[in-house]
Amino acid sequence: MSTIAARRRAPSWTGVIGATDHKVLGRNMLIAAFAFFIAGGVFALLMRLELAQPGMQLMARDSYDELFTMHGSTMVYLFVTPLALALGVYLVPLQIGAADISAPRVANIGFWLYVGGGLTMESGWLTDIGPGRAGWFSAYPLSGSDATPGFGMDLWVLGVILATAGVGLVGACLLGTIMRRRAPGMTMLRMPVFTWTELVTCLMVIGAFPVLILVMVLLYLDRQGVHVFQGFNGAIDYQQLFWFYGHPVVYVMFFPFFGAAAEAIAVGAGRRWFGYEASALSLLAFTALSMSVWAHHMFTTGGVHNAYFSLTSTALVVPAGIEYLGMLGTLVGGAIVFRTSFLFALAFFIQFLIGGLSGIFVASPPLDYHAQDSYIVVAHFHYTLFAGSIFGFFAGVYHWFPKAFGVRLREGLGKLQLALMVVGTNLTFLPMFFLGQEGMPRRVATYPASTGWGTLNVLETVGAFVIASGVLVFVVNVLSSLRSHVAAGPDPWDGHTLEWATSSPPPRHNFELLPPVRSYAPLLDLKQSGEWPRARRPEEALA
Amino acid sequence: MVFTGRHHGLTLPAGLGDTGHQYAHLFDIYVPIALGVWVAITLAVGVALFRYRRRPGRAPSGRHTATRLEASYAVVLACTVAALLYLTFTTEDEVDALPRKPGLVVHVTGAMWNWRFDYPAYGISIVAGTVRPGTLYVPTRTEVLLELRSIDVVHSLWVPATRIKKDVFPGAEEELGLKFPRAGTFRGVCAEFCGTHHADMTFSVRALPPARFRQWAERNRGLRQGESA
Repeated sequence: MSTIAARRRAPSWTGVIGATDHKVLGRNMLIAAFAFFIAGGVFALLMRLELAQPGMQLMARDSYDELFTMHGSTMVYLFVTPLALALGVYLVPLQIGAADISAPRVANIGFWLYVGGGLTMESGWLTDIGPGRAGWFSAYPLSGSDATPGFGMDLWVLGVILATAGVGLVGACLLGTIMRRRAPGMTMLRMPVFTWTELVTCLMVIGAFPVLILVMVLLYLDRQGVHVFQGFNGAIDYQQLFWFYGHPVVYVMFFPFFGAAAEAIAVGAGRRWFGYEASALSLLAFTALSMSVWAHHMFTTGGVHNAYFSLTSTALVVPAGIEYLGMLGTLVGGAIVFRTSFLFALAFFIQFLIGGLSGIFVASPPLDYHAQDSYIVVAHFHYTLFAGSIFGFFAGVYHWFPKAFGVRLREGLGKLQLALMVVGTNLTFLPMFFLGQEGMPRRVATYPASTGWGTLNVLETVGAFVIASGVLVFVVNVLSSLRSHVAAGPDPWDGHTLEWATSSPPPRHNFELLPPVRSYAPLLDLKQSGEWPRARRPEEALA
Repeated sequence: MVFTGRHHGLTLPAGLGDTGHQYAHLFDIYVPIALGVWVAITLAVGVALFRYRRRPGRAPSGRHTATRLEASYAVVLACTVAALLYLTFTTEDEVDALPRKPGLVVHVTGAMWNWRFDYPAYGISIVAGTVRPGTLYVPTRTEVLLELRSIDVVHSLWVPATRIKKDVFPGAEEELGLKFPRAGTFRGVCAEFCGTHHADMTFSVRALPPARFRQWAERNRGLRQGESA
C-alpha cells in the first residue's frame, strides 16, 4: 500500500516551517488560503442570515459592518490573491521544467508574512471594539481615527501591509522562476497557458502591490495623528492610490484561474489550446490595460476624468473576447470527456461571462451612476470572483489534485459539488442584479419592509447555504479521496504539459528526466509522434 | 418587462426625468447586447460539447490556430467597443451637463447620518436621517440644482428613481442637476458606506407641481429643521 507517496512522506515541523521545496510551499499556501476561505465564508453566511429579512434580527449594526469588512478583506487579501499565487508556486516550476522556485527562502518568508498578516487582521475580533469595519477598501476619511477609532482597525491596516508584502515577495520569486529557470527549449512562447497567466499575474503584483503597501502605511500614519490625507484632495488621493492597486488585483484574482480552466478545457477536449499566440498577446494587453482602468471605481466622485477610464475599461472587451475564442476553438474539433475538472472549467467560462458582460455595463459612466455602490456592483464582482475565479480554482483542483497527492478526487462527489455550487451561486448572486436595479445600496445591514426586497433576499440566503453545502461536499471528497489506495499514476488525464511527465507527487527536484520541449504542449507533441506512451484515461481503463 | 431601462419593478418607478431617460436609452442598448452575447456563446459551447464529445474512432483535430479568424474577430470586438463608447460618451455629456438656469437651488449637507437640505431662496432648512424622517421638496418640470458637501466622511446622494447618484465629499462642493417630470414621492438613500447608521441615512423626495411647491415654500419660509404641518 506504500505506492502512495503522499502518505509515505511524514512531514516534520521544521520541514513545514522552513520549507524551501516549492511543492511544500505551494501546498502550505493553499491550505492557509483555504482556511481563510472558510472563515470568510462563515462571515458571508452570517451576513446573509441578517439580510434574509428586513429589520435587524441577529446582530448589532456595527457587527454587520465588521462582518462585511472582514468578509471582503479576508476573501481578497487572504484567500483569492494568495491562492492565485499558491497555484503558481506549486505548478509553474513543474510546467516549465524547473527543479525549484527562485529564492525559495524569500518565498517562504513571504508565505509567513502573509499568514502573520492574516492572523494580525483577524485578531481584531479579539479587541474590545472589534476588527476593521470601514469596508475592504476602507475609504478615507471613514477609515481615519475620528470616524473609525480602535485598535482593531489599526490591526486591519497592519494586517493588509504584512499580507500584501508577503504575497508580493512570493510573486517576485515566481516571476524570477519564470524568467530565469525555464528548462532548455522552454522559450517564452512555449510556456503553457497556465504559466502565461501566472507570468502576467506576477507582473501586476510587482506593479501594483507596492502602491497598496504605501497607501496603507500612509493610512496608518494618519491614524496615529500625522495628517496625510486632508480635505477633498486627500480623500480623492486615497482612492486613486488604493484603486491603482485595487484594479490590477482584480485580474491577479482572475488570470491564474482562467489559466487553470484553460488547461482543464484543453486536456478535457484532448487537444491543445486554440489560438495560443493570440491568447498570450491578449494576456499582455489585459495586463497593460489593467494598470490604467483604476478610476472606473470613481466615476461618481467627480474627481477623475471619466471618459478616459471608461475607454480603457471598455477596451478590455478585445483581449477578453480573444480568450473566449480560444476556449471555443479548443472545444471545436476536440474529443471531449466530461470530467469534473472540465465541467468546472466550463462553468467558469459561462458564469464568468455574466460578470464580464456586466463589467462592460458598469464601465459606462451614465450606467454606473445608477449601479455604483448598489447591489448591481455586488452581483457583478461576485460573478467574476466567485462564479468565475472560484470555479476555475476547483477546475484546477480536480485537474491537479492527483499530481500533488498521488490520488484522484472522487468524480461522483465532484459532480455533486459542482451541481450544488452552480445552483447555489446563481441563486445567491443573480437576484442581486435586480435588487441593485431596484435601488438597494450595498453595505446596508437592513432595508425597509416596504421595498418588497425580502423575497429576493431570502432566496439569496438560501443560495448561500447551498454554496456552503457544496464546499462541505468538497471537504468530504478531499478527506475520503486521500484515504484511497488507488494510485493515480504520473499522467491520469493524458496531459499535455511537463508536470504530467513526472511521478505523482513529483520527487524533491521534480524530474528524473526532462523530455524535449518543442511547443507549449510538449508532452502532447511526444505522444503524437509516438515518443511517449499515451496514458490510458481512467474512463478507458474502466471500460 | 424587467430587462428594459424603463421597467416598473417591485416598488421603483420607471426612470424619471432626463437622467432617467438617458439611463434607459443606454440600458436598452447595452443589456440586450450583453444578453445576446451570453446566449450566443452559451449556445455555441452547448453545440460544441455535443458535436465534439468523445466518440470511438474520431481523433481530435490538430488545427490550433487560425490567424485570419482571430484578427478579424479582434476587429469586430474593437468596432463594438468603439460603438459602445460613442454612445456612452454622447450620453454622458448630456447626463453631466448642469442646468444653466436652475429653477431651484438646494444646498445639501451630508453628515453621519443625516442630510440637511437648505433652500437659500426661502430660508428653509430640513433635516432627514437618523434624527428624524425628512423630505426634500422639489417642484416638478423644473431644473433643480443640488450643491452637495459633507462635513465628515464621504457620502453619496442617490434617488434611485432618477438613476443617478453623486458622491458627497468633505472639503469640496459637488453639483447634481435633477428634474422630476411628474408629481410623486420617491425614496432617497446614502449609497456610500459611511459607518454604523449608513442604512438609516435615508430621505424622501416629494415632487410637487410648481404652483403647489411655491405655496409650500412661502408657507414655510424661515422654517428650520421642520416640515410643514
